Amino acid sequence: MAASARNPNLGSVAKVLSDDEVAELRRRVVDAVSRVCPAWLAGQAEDIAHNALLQLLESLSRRGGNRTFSSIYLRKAAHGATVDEIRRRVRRRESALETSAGVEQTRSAQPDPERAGAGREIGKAIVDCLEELIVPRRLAVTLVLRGGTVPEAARRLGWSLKRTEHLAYRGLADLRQCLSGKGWTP
Amino acid sequence: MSDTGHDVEQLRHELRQQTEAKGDGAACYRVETLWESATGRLARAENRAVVLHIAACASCATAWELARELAPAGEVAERAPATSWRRWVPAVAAAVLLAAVALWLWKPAEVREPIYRDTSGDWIVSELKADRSLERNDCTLRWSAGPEGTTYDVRVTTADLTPVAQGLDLSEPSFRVDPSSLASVSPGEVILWRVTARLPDGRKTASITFRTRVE
Repeated sequence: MAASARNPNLGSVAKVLSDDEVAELRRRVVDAVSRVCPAWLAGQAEDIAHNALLQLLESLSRRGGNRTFSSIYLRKAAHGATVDEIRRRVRRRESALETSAGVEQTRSAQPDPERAGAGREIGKAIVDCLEELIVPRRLAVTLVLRGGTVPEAARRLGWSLKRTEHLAYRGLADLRQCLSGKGWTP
Repeated sequence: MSDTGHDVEQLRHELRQQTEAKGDGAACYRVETLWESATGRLARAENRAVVLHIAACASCATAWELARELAPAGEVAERAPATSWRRWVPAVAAAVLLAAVALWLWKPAEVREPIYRDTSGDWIVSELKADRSLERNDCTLRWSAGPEGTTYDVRVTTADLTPVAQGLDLSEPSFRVDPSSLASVSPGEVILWRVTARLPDGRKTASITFRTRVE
Protein backbone atom coordinates (compact mmCIF):
# COMPACT_ATOMS: atom_id res chain seq x y z
CA MET A 1 0.00 0.00 0.00
CA ALA A 2 1.18 3.49 -0.66
CA ALA A 3 2.89 5.38 2.06
CA SER A 4 1.07 8.47 0.90
CA ALA A 5 -2.30 7.34 2.20
CA ARG A 6 -3.14 10.34 4.30
CA ASN A 7 -6.16 8.91 5.98
CA PRO A 8 -6.32 5.16 5.67
CA ASN A 9 -9.39 4.67 7.79
CA LEU A 10 -12.45 6.76 7.78
CA GLY A 11 -11.19 9.35 10.23
CA SER A 12 -12.41 12.54 8.62
CA VAL A 13 -15.91 11.34 7.83
CA ALA A 14 -16.29 9.65 11.19
CA LYS A 15 -15.40 12.93 12.88
CA VAL A 16 -17.85 14.91 10.81
CA LEU A 17 -20.81 12.52 11.06
CA SER A 18 -22.00 10.44 13.96
CA ASP A 19 -23.13 6.87 13.37
CA ASP A 20 -26.73 8.01 13.63
CA GLU A 21 -26.15 10.75 11.08
CA VAL A 22 -24.50 8.32 8.67
CA ALA A 23 -27.40 5.90 9.12
CA GLU A 24 -29.91 8.67 8.47
CA LEU A 25 -28.00 9.87 5.40
CA ARG A 26 -27.84 6.31 4.10
CA ARG A 27 -31.59 5.92 4.57
CA ARG A 28 -32.26 9.13 2.66
CA VAL A 29 -29.88 8.16 -0.15
CA VAL A 30 -31.49 4.75 -0.56
CA ASP A 31 -34.88 6.43 -0.63
CA ALA A 32 -33.73 8.99 -3.21
CA VAL A 33 -32.27 6.28 -5.42
CA SER A 34 -35.44 4.22 -5.21
CA ARG A 35 -37.35 7.24 -6.54
CA VAL A 36 -35.08 7.86 -9.51
CA CYS A 37 -33.88 4.38 -10.44
CA PRO A 38 -35.82 2.97 -13.42
CA ALA A 39 -37.29 -0.48 -12.95
CA TRP A 40 -34.87 -1.97 -15.45
CA LEU A 41 -31.97 -0.83 -13.25
CA ALA A 42 -33.49 -2.05 -10.00
CA GLY A 43 -30.89 -4.79 -9.75
CA GLN A 44 -28.20 -2.12 -9.53
CA ALA A 45 -30.04 0.13 -7.08
CA GLU A 46 -27.79 -0.92 -4.21
CA ASP A 47 -24.63 -0.12 -6.15
CA ILE A 48 -26.08 3.18 -7.30
CA ALA A 49 -26.96 4.11 -3.73
CA HIS A 50 -23.48 3.13 -2.66
CA ASN A 51 -21.90 5.36 -5.28
CA ALA A 52 -24.19 8.25 -4.42
CA LEU A 53 -23.44 7.89 -0.71
CA LEU A 54 -19.72 7.81 -1.32
CA GLN A 55 -19.93 10.94 -3.44
CA LEU A 56 -21.85 12.68 -0.68
CA LEU A 57 -19.34 11.60 1.94
CA GLU A 58 -16.54 12.80 -0.30
CA SER A 59 -18.30 16.12 -0.70
CA LEU A 60 -18.72 16.29 3.05
CA SER A 61 -15.03 15.61 3.60
CA ARG A 62 -14.14 18.42 1.22
CA ARG A 63 -16.47 21.08 2.49
CA GLY A 64 -16.56 20.20 6.20
CA GLY A 65 -18.80 22.54 8.19
CA ASN A 66 -22.33 22.04 6.91
CA ARG A 67 -23.30 18.46 7.66
CA THR A 68 -26.76 18.48 6.16
CA PHE A 69 -27.95 17.82 2.65
CA SER A 70 -31.17 19.23 1.27
CA SER A 71 -33.58 16.79 -0.31
CA ILE A 72 -32.98 18.36 -3.73
CA TYR A 73 -29.23 17.87 -3.26
CA LEU A 74 -29.82 14.20 -2.46
CA ARG A 75 -32.06 13.84 -5.50
CA LYS A 76 -29.36 15.32 -7.70
CA ALA A 77 -26.78 12.96 -6.21
CA ALA A 78 -29.09 9.99 -6.78
CA HIS A 79 -29.82 11.17 -10.30
CA GLY A 80 -26.10 11.62 -11.06
CA ALA A 81 -25.21 8.17 -9.78
CA THR A 82 -28.09 6.62 -11.73
CA VAL A 83 -27.08 8.35 -14.96
CA ASP A 84 -23.49 7.17 -14.44
CA GLU A 85 -24.80 3.62 -14.30
CA ILE A 86 -27.01 4.12 -17.37
CA ARG A 87 -24.06 5.46 -19.36
CA ARG A 88 -21.88 2.62 -18.17
CA ARG A 89 -24.49 0.16 -19.40
CA VAL A 90 -24.77 1.89 -22.76
CA ARG A 91 -20.98 1.78 -23.14
CA ARG A 92 -20.93 -1.90 -22.26
CA ARG A 93 -23.68 -2.61 -24.75
CA GLU A 94 -21.96 -0.59 -27.43
CA SER A 95 -18.76 -2.51 -26.94
CA ALA A 96 -20.28 -5.93 -26.41
CA LEU A 97 -23.22 -5.46 -28.79
CA GLU A 98 -25.58 -6.67 -26.14
CA THR A 99 -29.13 -6.71 -27.33
CA SER A 100 -31.16 -7.52 -24.29
CA ALA A 101 -30.88 -4.45 -22.07
CA GLY A 102 -33.34 -2.00 -23.57
CA VAL A 103 -34.08 1.24 -21.78
CA GLU A 104 -37.76 0.45 -21.75
CA GLN A 105 -37.29 -3.23 -21.27
CA THR A 106 -38.80 -3.65 -17.85
CA ARG A 107 -40.61 -0.35 -17.68
CA SER A 108 -42.95 -1.73 -20.28
CA ALA A 109 -42.40 -5.35 -19.28
CA GLN A 110 -41.83 -6.41 -22.85
CA PRO A 111 -42.14 -10.18 -22.86
CA ASP A 112 -41.32 -10.72 -26.49
CA PRO A 113 -37.71 -10.18 -27.63
CA GLU A 114 -38.78 -10.08 -31.26
CA ARG A 115 -41.29 -7.36 -30.52
CA ALA A 116 -38.77 -5.48 -28.41
CA GLY A 117 -36.31 -5.66 -31.28
CA ALA A 118 -38.94 -4.31 -33.65
CA GLY A 119 -39.64 -1.55 -31.14
CA ARG A 120 -36.00 -0.54 -31.17
CA GLU A 121 -36.11 -0.47 -34.96
CA ILE A 122 -39.09 1.87 -34.91
CA GLY A 123 -37.36 3.93 -32.26
CA LYS A 124 -34.33 4.26 -34.49
CA ALA A 125 -36.57 5.29 -37.38
CA ILE A 126 -38.18 7.94 -35.16
CA VAL A 127 -34.76 9.31 -34.21
CA ASP A 128 -33.72 9.39 -37.87
CA CYS A 129 -36.93 11.15 -38.83
CA LEU A 130 -36.59 13.65 -35.99
CA GLU A 131 -33.22 14.60 -37.39
CA GLU A 132 -34.85 15.47 -40.70
CA LEU A 133 -37.28 17.95 -39.13
CA ILE A 134 -36.47 21.63 -39.26
CA VAL A 135 -35.00 22.71 -35.95
CA PRO A 136 -38.00 24.51 -34.39
CA ARG A 137 -40.26 21.55 -35.16
CA ARG A 138 -37.64 19.12 -33.91
CA LEU A 139 -37.41 21.01 -30.60
CA ALA A 140 -41.16 21.04 -30.08
CA VAL A 141 -41.71 17.42 -31.11
CA THR A 142 -38.77 16.15 -29.04
CA LEU A 143 -40.14 17.73 -25.88
CA VAL A 144 -43.62 16.38 -26.56
CA LEU A 145 -42.30 12.89 -27.28
CA ARG A 146 -40.13 12.95 -24.17
CA GLY A 147 -43.22 13.05 -22.06
CA GLY A 148 -44.08 16.71 -21.87
CA THR A 149 -47.25 18.52 -22.80
CA VAL A 150 -47.36 21.28 -25.40
CA PRO A 151 -47.76 23.99 -22.71
CA GLU A 152 -44.73 22.58 -20.90
CA ALA A 153 -42.73 22.57 -24.14
CA ALA A 154 -43.77 26.17 -24.71
CA ARG A 155 -42.53 27.14 -21.26
CA ARG A 156 -39.24 25.31 -21.73
CA LEU A 157 -38.57 26.86 -25.13
CA GLY A 158 -39.81 30.33 -24.25
CA TRP A 159 -42.32 30.28 -27.07
CA SER A 160 -45.98 31.20 -27.10
CA LEU A 161 -48.43 28.34 -26.69
CA LYS A 162 -49.88 29.00 -30.13
CA ARG A 163 -46.51 28.88 -31.85
CA THR A 164 -45.49 25.74 -29.99
CA GLU A 165 -48.79 24.04 -30.81
CA HIS A 166 -48.32 24.86 -34.48
CA LEU A 167 -44.73 23.60 -34.54
CA ALA A 168 -45.56 20.41 -32.66
CA TYR A 169 -48.57 19.74 -34.89
CA ARG A 170 -46.64 20.28 -38.10
CA GLY A 171 -43.61 18.47 -36.75
CA LEU A 172 -45.63 15.40 -35.78
CA ALA A 173 -47.24 15.41 -39.23
CA ASP A 174 -43.76 15.52 -40.82
CA LEU A 175 -42.63 12.75 -38.51
CA ARG A 176 -45.54 10.49 -39.42
CA GLN A 177 -44.96 11.12 -43.10
CA CYS A 178 -41.26 10.32 -42.73
CA LEU A 179 -42.06 7.12 -40.82
CA SER A 180 -44.55 6.08 -43.47
CA GLY A 181 -41.85 6.62 -46.05
CA LYS A 182 -39.67 4.19 -44.13
CA GLY A 183 -42.46 1.65 -43.97
CA TRP A 184 -43.63 2.34 -40.40
CA THR A 185 -47.13 3.42 -39.56
CA PRO A 186 -47.55 4.54 -35.97
CA MET B 1 -53.80 19.51 -31.13
CA SER B 2 -54.17 16.63 -28.78
CA ASP B 3 -50.65 16.06 -27.52
CA THR B 4 -51.60 12.96 -25.62
CA GLY B 5 -53.38 11.25 -28.46
CA HIS B 6 -52.98 7.57 -28.96
CA ASP B 7 -50.43 7.85 -31.73
CA VAL B 8 -48.29 10.30 -29.75
CA GLU B 9 -48.31 7.89 -26.82
CA GLN B 10 -47.31 5.12 -29.18
CA LEU B 11 -44.51 7.24 -30.63
CA ARG B 12 -43.28 7.98 -27.11
CA HIS B 13 -43.32 4.31 -26.30
CA GLU B 14 -41.49 3.31 -29.48
CA LEU B 15 -38.94 6.09 -29.00
CA ARG B 16 -38.05 4.67 -25.60
CA GLN B 17 -37.15 1.37 -27.23
CA GLN B 18 -34.37 3.20 -29.00
CA THR B 19 -31.39 2.94 -26.70
CA GLU B 20 -28.51 3.74 -29.00
CA ALA B 21 -26.87 7.10 -29.44
CA LYS B 22 -26.60 8.52 -32.92
CA GLY B 23 -23.24 8.60 -34.63
CA ASP B 24 -20.46 7.38 -32.40
CA GLY B 25 -22.53 8.21 -29.34
CA ALA B 26 -19.57 9.83 -27.66
CA ALA B 27 -20.55 13.46 -27.19
CA CYS B 28 -22.85 13.78 -24.22
CA TYR B 29 -23.73 16.56 -21.85
CA ARG B 30 -22.73 16.61 -18.24
CA VAL B 31 -25.39 15.20 -15.99
CA GLU B 32 -25.56 18.57 -14.21
CA THR B 33 -26.35 20.29 -17.50
CA LEU B 34 -29.10 17.78 -18.26
CA TRP B 35 -30.52 18.38 -14.79
CA GLU B 36 -30.49 22.14 -15.31
CA SER B 37 -32.19 21.75 -18.67
CA ALA B 38 -34.84 19.41 -17.31
CA THR B 39 -35.56 21.80 -14.45
CA GLY B 40 -35.65 24.85 -16.72
CA ARG B 41 -32.54 26.54 -15.39
CA LEU B 42 -30.41 26.71 -18.50
CA ALA B 43 -30.01 29.74 -20.72
CA ARG B 44 -32.35 29.47 -23.68
CA ALA B 45 -29.74 28.85 -26.36
CA GLU B 46 -28.01 26.15 -24.41
CA ASN B 47 -31.30 24.57 -23.42
CA ARG B 48 -32.24 24.26 -27.09
CA ALA B 49 -28.87 22.68 -27.83
CA VAL B 50 -29.52 20.13 -25.10
CA VAL B 51 -33.00 19.35 -26.46
CA LEU B 52 -31.55 18.84 -29.92
CA HIS B 53 -28.99 16.48 -28.42
CA ILE B 54 -31.57 14.41 -26.54
CA ALA B 55 -33.52 14.10 -29.78
CA ALA B 56 -30.71 11.83 -30.96
CA CYS B 57 -29.07 10.45 -27.82
CA ALA B 58 -31.01 7.84 -25.90
CA SER B 59 -28.92 7.79 -22.74
CA CYS B 60 -29.00 11.58 -22.37
CA ALA B 61 -32.72 11.52 -23.12
CA THR B 62 -33.24 8.97 -20.36
CA ALA B 63 -31.16 11.07 -17.96
CA TRP B 64 -33.13 14.16 -18.92
CA GLU B 65 -36.46 12.40 -18.44
CA LEU B 66 -35.43 11.08 -15.03
CA ALA B 67 -34.42 14.58 -13.95
CA ARG B 68 -37.71 15.93 -15.27
CA GLU B 69 -39.63 13.36 -13.25
CA LEU B 70 -37.57 14.09 -10.13
CA ALA B 71 -37.88 17.85 -10.23
CA PRO B 72 -40.37 19.08 -7.65
CA ALA B 73 -43.73 20.06 -9.08
CA GLY B 74 -43.66 23.55 -10.48
CA GLU B 75 -39.89 23.72 -10.46
CA VAL B 76 -39.60 24.09 -14.22
CA ALA B 77 -38.84 27.73 -14.59
CA GLU B 78 -41.18 29.85 -16.62
CA ARG B 79 -39.69 31.47 -19.68
CA ALA B 80 -41.26 34.58 -21.05
CA PRO B 81 -42.94 33.72 -24.36
CA ALA B 82 -42.45 35.83 -27.41
CA THR B 83 -44.96 38.67 -27.55
CA SER B 84 -46.29 41.15 -30.05
CA TRP B 85 -43.63 42.78 -32.25
CA ARG B 86 -44.69 46.25 -31.06
CA ARG B 87 -43.35 45.51 -27.63
CA TRP B 88 -39.95 44.95 -29.14
CA VAL B 89 -39.70 48.28 -30.98
CA PRO B 90 -37.89 50.12 -28.15
CA ALA B 91 -35.61 47.19 -27.55
CA VAL B 92 -34.80 46.86 -31.25
CA ALA B 93 -34.07 50.57 -31.50
CA ALA B 94 -31.75 50.36 -28.52
CA ALA B 95 -30.13 47.29 -30.00
CA VAL B 96 -29.41 49.11 -33.26
CA LEU B 97 -27.77 51.95 -31.35
CA LEU B 98 -25.73 49.51 -29.36
CA ALA B 99 -24.76 47.44 -32.36
CA ALA B 100 -21.98 49.79 -33.40
CA VAL B 101 -20.49 49.68 -29.92
CA ALA B 102 -20.91 45.96 -29.83
CA LEU B 103 -18.98 45.59 -33.07
CA TRP B 104 -15.96 47.04 -31.32
CA LEU B 105 -16.29 44.77 -28.37
CA TRP B 106 -17.87 41.73 -29.91
CA LYS B 107 -16.55 38.29 -29.29
CA PRO B 108 -18.40 35.04 -29.70
CA ALA B 109 -20.69 34.19 -26.83
CA GLU B 110 -19.41 31.34 -24.79
CA VAL B 111 -21.36 28.22 -25.63
CA ARG B 112 -20.66 25.29 -23.44
CA GLU B 113 -19.72 22.36 -25.63
CA PRO B 114 -20.91 18.88 -24.87
CA ILE B 115 -18.23 17.05 -23.00
CA TYR B 116 -16.98 13.76 -24.28
CA ARG B 117 -18.29 10.80 -22.47
CA ASP B 118 -15.71 9.63 -20.00
CA THR B 119 -15.03 6.02 -20.79
CA SER B 120 -11.79 5.77 -18.92
CA GLY B 121 -13.34 4.49 -15.68
CA ASP B 122 -13.98 1.15 -17.28
CA TRP B 123 -10.29 0.30 -17.15
CA ILE B 124 -10.35 0.12 -13.37
CA VAL B 125 -11.03 -3.52 -12.63
CA SER B 126 -10.62 -5.51 -9.45
CA GLU B 127 -7.60 -7.76 -9.43
CA LEU B 128 -9.03 -9.95 -6.72
CA LYS B 129 -10.33 -13.34 -7.72
CA ALA B 130 -14.10 -13.24 -7.85
CA ASP B 131 -14.60 -16.36 -5.77
CA ARG B 132 -11.89 -15.66 -3.25
CA SER B 133 -12.55 -14.29 0.22
CA LEU B 134 -10.04 -12.11 2.00
CA GLU B 135 -8.77 -12.67 5.50
CA ARG B 136 -9.59 -9.73 7.73
CA ASN B 137 -6.00 -9.60 8.94
CA ASP B 138 -4.79 -9.25 5.38
CA CYS B 139 -7.64 -7.51 3.64
CA THR B 140 -5.79 -5.87 0.78
CA LEU B 141 -7.84 -4.58 -2.11
CA ARG B 142 -6.11 -4.47 -5.49
CA TRP B 143 -7.12 -3.05 -8.83
CA SER B 144 -5.64 -2.39 -12.26
CA ALA B 145 -3.11 0.41 -12.43
CA GLY B 146 -3.52 3.60 -14.43
CA PRO B 147 -0.72 5.45 -16.22
CA GLU B 148 2.40 6.43 -14.30
CA GLY B 149 1.55 9.22 -11.88
CA THR B 150 -2.09 8.20 -11.32
CA THR B 151 -3.31 8.53 -7.74
CA TYR B 152 -6.31 6.75 -6.25
CA ASP B 153 -8.97 7.17 -3.60
CA VAL B 154 -10.75 4.06 -2.43
CA ARG B 155 -13.82 3.96 -0.24
CA VAL B 156 -15.09 0.87 1.47
CA THR B 157 -18.51 0.24 2.97
CA THR B 158 -20.52 -2.69 4.23
CA ALA B 159 -23.25 -4.09 2.03
CA ASP B 160 -25.76 -1.81 3.77
CA LEU B 161 -23.54 1.16 2.86
CA THR B 162 -22.09 1.82 6.30
CA PRO B 163 -18.65 3.39 5.76
CA VAL B 164 -15.82 1.11 6.81
CA ALA B 165 -12.59 2.68 5.58
CA GLN B 166 -11.09 4.93 3.01
CA GLY B 167 -7.68 5.53 1.50
CA LEU B 168 -6.91 8.83 -0.14
CA ASP B 169 -4.16 9.93 -2.52
CA LEU B 170 -2.83 6.41 -2.90
CA SER B 171 0.05 6.17 -5.32
CA GLU B 172 -0.26 2.40 -5.72
CA PRO B 173 -3.34 0.48 -6.93
CA SER B 174 -3.91 -1.30 -3.65
CA PHE B 175 -5.25 -0.57 -0.20
CA ARG B 176 -5.01 -2.57 2.97
CA VAL B 177 -8.07 -2.23 5.16
CA ASP B 178 -7.04 -1.99 8.78
CA PRO B 179 -8.38 -5.04 10.67
CA SER B 180 -9.79 -2.76 13.37
CA SER B 181 -11.96 -1.08 10.74
CA LEU B 182 -13.51 -4.46 9.98
CA ALA B 183 -14.74 -4.96 13.53
CA SER B 184 -18.32 -4.30 12.44
CA VAL B 185 -18.04 -6.68 9.49
CA SER B 186 -19.13 -10.22 10.34
CA PRO B 187 -17.15 -13.19 9.01
CA GLY B 188 -18.42 -14.08 5.53
CA GLU B 189 -19.96 -10.64 5.03
CA VAL B 190 -19.47 -8.74 1.77
CA ILE B 191 -17.81 -5.35 1.66
CA LEU B 192 -18.31 -2.91 -1.21
CA TRP B 193 -15.46 -0.79 -2.52
CA ARG B 194 -15.03 1.76 -5.24
CA VAL B 195 -11.93 3.39 -6.65
CA THR B 196 -11.62 6.93 -7.95
CA ALA B 197 -8.51 7.58 -10.04
CA ARG B 198 -6.92 10.93 -10.77
CA LEU B 199 -4.94 10.68 -13.98
CA PRO B 200 -1.74 12.65 -14.56
CA ASP B 201 -3.57 14.95 -17.00
CA GLY B 202 -6.00 15.95 -14.24
CA ARG B 203 -8.96 13.86 -15.34
CA LYS B 204 -10.81 12.05 -12.62
CA THR B 205 -12.71 8.84 -13.14
CA ALA B 206 -14.41 6.24 -11.01
CA SER B 207 -14.76 2.50 -11.14
CA ILE B 208 -17.88 0.47 -10.68
CA THR B 209 -18.52 -0.83 -7.18
CA PHE B 210 -16.66 -4.05 -6.41
CA ARG B 211 -17.77 -6.68 -3.90
CA THR B 212 -15.44 -8.74 -1.80
CA ARG B 213 -16.22 -11.25 0.93
CA VAL B 214 -14.27 -10.96 4.18
CA GLU B 215 -13.66 -13.91 6.49
